[in-house]
Amino acid sequence: MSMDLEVMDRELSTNNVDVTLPPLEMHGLSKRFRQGTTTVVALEHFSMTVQPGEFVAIMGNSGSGKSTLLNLIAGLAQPDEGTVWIDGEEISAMRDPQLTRFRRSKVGLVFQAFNLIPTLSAIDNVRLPVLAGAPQGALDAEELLRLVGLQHRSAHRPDALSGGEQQRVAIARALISQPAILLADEPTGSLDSVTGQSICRLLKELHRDTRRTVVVVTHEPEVARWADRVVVLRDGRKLAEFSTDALQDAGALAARYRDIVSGVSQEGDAT
Amino acid sequence: MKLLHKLLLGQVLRHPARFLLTTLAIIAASVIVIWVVSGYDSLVSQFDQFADDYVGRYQYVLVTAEPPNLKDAGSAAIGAGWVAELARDPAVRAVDAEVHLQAKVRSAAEHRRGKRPDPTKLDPRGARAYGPPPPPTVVFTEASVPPYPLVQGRWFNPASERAEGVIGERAAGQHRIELGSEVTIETDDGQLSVLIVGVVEQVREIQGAGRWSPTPTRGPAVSPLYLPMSQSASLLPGTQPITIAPIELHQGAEEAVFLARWNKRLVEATPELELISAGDVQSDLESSRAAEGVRNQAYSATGLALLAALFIIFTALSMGVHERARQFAVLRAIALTPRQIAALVLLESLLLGGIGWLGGLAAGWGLLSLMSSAQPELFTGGPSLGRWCIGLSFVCAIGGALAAAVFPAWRAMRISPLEAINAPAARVSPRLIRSLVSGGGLLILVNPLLVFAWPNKDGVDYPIYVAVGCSAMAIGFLLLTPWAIVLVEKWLGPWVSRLLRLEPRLLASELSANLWRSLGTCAALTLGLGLFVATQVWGYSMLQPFVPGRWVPGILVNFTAGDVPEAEFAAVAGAAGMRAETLLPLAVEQARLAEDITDSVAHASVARQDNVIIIGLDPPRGIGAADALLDLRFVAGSRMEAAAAMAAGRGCVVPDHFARAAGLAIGDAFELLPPESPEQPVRYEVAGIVELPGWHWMTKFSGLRRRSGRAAAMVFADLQRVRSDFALQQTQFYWGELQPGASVAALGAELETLVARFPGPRQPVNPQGMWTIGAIDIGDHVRLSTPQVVQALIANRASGMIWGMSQLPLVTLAIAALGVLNTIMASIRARTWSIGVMRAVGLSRSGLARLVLAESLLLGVVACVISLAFGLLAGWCGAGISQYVSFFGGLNPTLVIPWGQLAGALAATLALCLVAALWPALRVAQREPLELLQAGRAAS
Repeated sequence: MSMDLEVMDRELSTNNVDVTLPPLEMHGLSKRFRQGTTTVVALEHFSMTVQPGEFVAIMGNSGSGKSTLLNLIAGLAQPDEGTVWIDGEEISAMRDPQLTRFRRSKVGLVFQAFNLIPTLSAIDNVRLPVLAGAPQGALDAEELLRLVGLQHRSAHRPDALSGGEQQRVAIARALISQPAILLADEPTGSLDSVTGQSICRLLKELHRDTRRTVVVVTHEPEVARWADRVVVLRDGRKLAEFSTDALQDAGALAARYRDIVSGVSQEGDAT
Repeated sequence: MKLLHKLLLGQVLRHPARFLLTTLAIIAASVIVIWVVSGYDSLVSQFDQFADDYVGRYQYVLVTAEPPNLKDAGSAAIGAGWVAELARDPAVRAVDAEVHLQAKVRSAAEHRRGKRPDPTKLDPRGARAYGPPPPPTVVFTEASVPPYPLVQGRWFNPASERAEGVIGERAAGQHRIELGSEVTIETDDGQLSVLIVGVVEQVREIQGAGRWSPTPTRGPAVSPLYLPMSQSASLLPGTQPITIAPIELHQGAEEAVFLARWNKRLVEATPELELISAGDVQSDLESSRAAEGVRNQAYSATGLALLAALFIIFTALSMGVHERARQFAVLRAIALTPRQIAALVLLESLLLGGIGWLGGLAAGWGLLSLMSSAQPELFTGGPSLGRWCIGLSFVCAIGGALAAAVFPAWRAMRISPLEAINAPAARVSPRLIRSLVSGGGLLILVNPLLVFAWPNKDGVDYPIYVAVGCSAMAIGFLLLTPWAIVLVEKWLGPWVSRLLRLEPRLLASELSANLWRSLGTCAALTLGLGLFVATQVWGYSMLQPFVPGRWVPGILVNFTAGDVPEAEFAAVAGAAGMRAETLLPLAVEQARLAEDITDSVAHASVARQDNVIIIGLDPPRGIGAADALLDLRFVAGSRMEAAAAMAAGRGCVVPDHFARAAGLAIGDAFELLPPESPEQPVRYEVAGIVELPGWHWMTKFSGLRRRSGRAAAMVFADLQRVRSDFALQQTQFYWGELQPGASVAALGAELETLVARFPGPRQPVNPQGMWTIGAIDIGDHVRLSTPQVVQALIANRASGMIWGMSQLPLVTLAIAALGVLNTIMASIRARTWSIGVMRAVGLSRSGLARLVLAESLLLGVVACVISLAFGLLAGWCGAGISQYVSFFGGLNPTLVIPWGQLAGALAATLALCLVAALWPALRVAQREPLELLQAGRAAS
């Protein structure tokens, strides 16, 4: 794997993310949903900045608003209030066709359920954004598959791949158009723990070597520990955020998370 | 585009069975169109050659703008001056004026014996003929050479002492007239004996347009008997009116210049004249009623097949969109715009339609080739796919595909990218269903309102009625279908489950949970079944007024020839099997109305004609008495009052539809023109209005129509009054009742023996009055009609016609069964995991198979419910509007529901649904639970 990363590093050295690019910015985001006669506030006045090349994990219990936040960042939903800025463009004001083209070229999406197209081969799934019209400068699909260790499965359809393999293909797909930001929604949610860790390791390596901004939504400390920074949500609001540098392992992160959620603040917690 | 093609191909390869079934259904629909339309193509392909042959050696024919009435030779004649002027034109080589005349033509042997020709022996077509072929048209011509090539003999010599004639080849064959034989031509003004000296080629009949081939309405006679113009005076005293003038031009003459020279002038002639060519004849044929009828059949078949294709493709696409909702959401999230998603659905639809069309052309060609080798006489030009075949089948397949893609594409466009993460629950909101019901109900009401409540339908624009009323009703029922699915699932689903020994909850919401898929399938089934029901209801409702009612006496005796004196009445009454006390002599005439009180000129129909059949009978015995022979139901007036008015003077009883069409009420009067003295009209006053179902068919074949084939009414008046008004010296007709078990043949034989003793002239009669159907001929003088014979004839012929009209809907229903198979397979695929769970927890193989069959059966039940509702209402509205637009309208149809036929069709539909589901049911029942669970997981 590391040799492949070296290859990719050589080939992509001129394609690393420029750290002088604008950061990912969210200002005063709010999102509400109607369920019958009840209005549910999924996100309220949320603001956050992610520097280019940063790896951020967003944690929270079920219903905390983390998936809603990811949807808003990805442009899959529009906020009721607030703005989202990616690569210097305000996506919250874009109309759908413009947003689609933006996602195609600037955002890489990795889903919990992999969401590969069952009728396309692995390599065609990787090429999907390019086939749909992503701009020039896309990476080579064969190389990306090699990078994720699936060069020998390029012609296979998703139903012939394991869960882990499918998620690797999904990650390769998310990278092909060299997006400014990679968003992953519970990327290990449908995988066993061993496979999940291999996916996290892959994400970390890709982040490190391509210096792409990565935002991962997760409720698993084992996943969050791979991030540089963890942001904790509760009831649609930012509860706290902390760096993972000082945390030794997932257990320590889990303990920290529990403390935050239960209201015990610690030094270094930003609220 | 490359991505869309990849996705499209992937979808096809992932669901090959569905793709194949859908394509097969489209192929079948296209083949229907090709099969029906090929008849029109075959017909039209003959017009060109026919038109060329028809004009013979001439280039143009001078005709009147309006077709002539050959029975009235003086009407609309071409002035001799025009013929003379044309003959002087430098471009013209010859102008051969012709006088056409319809007259009785009999071979000399038949004429001497006074024998009626045996119709089955005259016509080479043999058993198919109901009566003798029509006589050839007598053509007096100035031509010195034959218009068509001679087959035998020579052209006539005008100077010959003996009248010579030349006959057309086919007419000679039909009437068994040979070279050297004699024929006698009879008109009211005289008769002429002619020696046949030649036989000419006769233009071939156009095949394949049904019973009546299209023929030009103006121009040379299609079945001629040529005579020299010099002989015309013996049959047409006075000036001989020129019917047409064929024109032969010099070789090299400039036709365009010739036409330009004459066309302007001829328009100003009185009557207006035209020069027609072979091309004009061809146009005439293309706009003929026969061609129009076949063309309308082609359009109907195309429309029906298009709708079938539409619903089948709609179902397939809807299933695809539903199954791929998450996939579309991912594509939306990652790569594609809504329009690109819609384009994907549209491409899939066009692929189905395109392959279906091409496959249909190939299959249609194969079918035509097969039929051509089996019945070459139907394919005179060999099998071919004409432009109409190709064009209309294209409209069917591609048009259906495009229309079918609209809603699924719209649904696919609306899939949010968010659904890639969270798939929403597939529910149809009750609010949506309520809206559909409201809209559908309102639309359904449009048709009945237009038919039964909208005033002044005489000017109704039928295409608008079809476009607005029928379309609204069809769309309305389509909108009601989701509600019907939910209702049937709720109320009849448990019964279907129990019938198949299943727990009702297993089937509880399978149809409504996949509403669009179910809708498409039910709509495809309803298309065929609903139209079948509508056709049956319409047909039998329209037929009812023509079925003889109980008013018709048991037997009508017609002495077709002879002169039985009144003194022999007792002998007639005493004939074997006759109930003597019931026998009534009748005085019958068919007389023209002095005024067109039914407005037949504007809109002729079976109830709007320019004449009536007036029947004189004894008023009290026939109508007034409590045990009167005619058991009439009066809608205005009473039998006693009517009989009294008839006996007292000029009272008469008329049928209700005639009173309605003519605007007559009790006390109103109308005038009739006696055929023998039309300058002295006779007046009758309406004394009673009755229901008279079946009088048409009781008069059609019995001989009561003495002068023409159509009549507006049967009118009853006093016997002596009618005899006096119409100078009827002898009694030709008798009405009476038969004794139980009487033999009609024996009765007839006795009457024949009686009348043979009193020779006399043959009575005038319409052609159908000589047919071998509808009445019984005994010898040469007696024709007997009974209501039973007519009822049997109606049942046979009408049922055959209605069945013929119902075949296309039934074929459409069979094609829709392919859609059912598709739906069931998709349903099984979508439920693979849950089916695996059911098998794992204990559902048996047979239980699973029955579950699948139950779902299919329930789809069939929904289709039956909707079809029945639609068909009854559409059929009844169809019968209602036909009163105003159909030639057979104007009577009082009653709603007739042929339950026997409908039950058969409903049962067939349910059986089709079961058969369609049989293979998928057995196949899934064979699979092991673990296999199903794993396959289901992989699919999700």
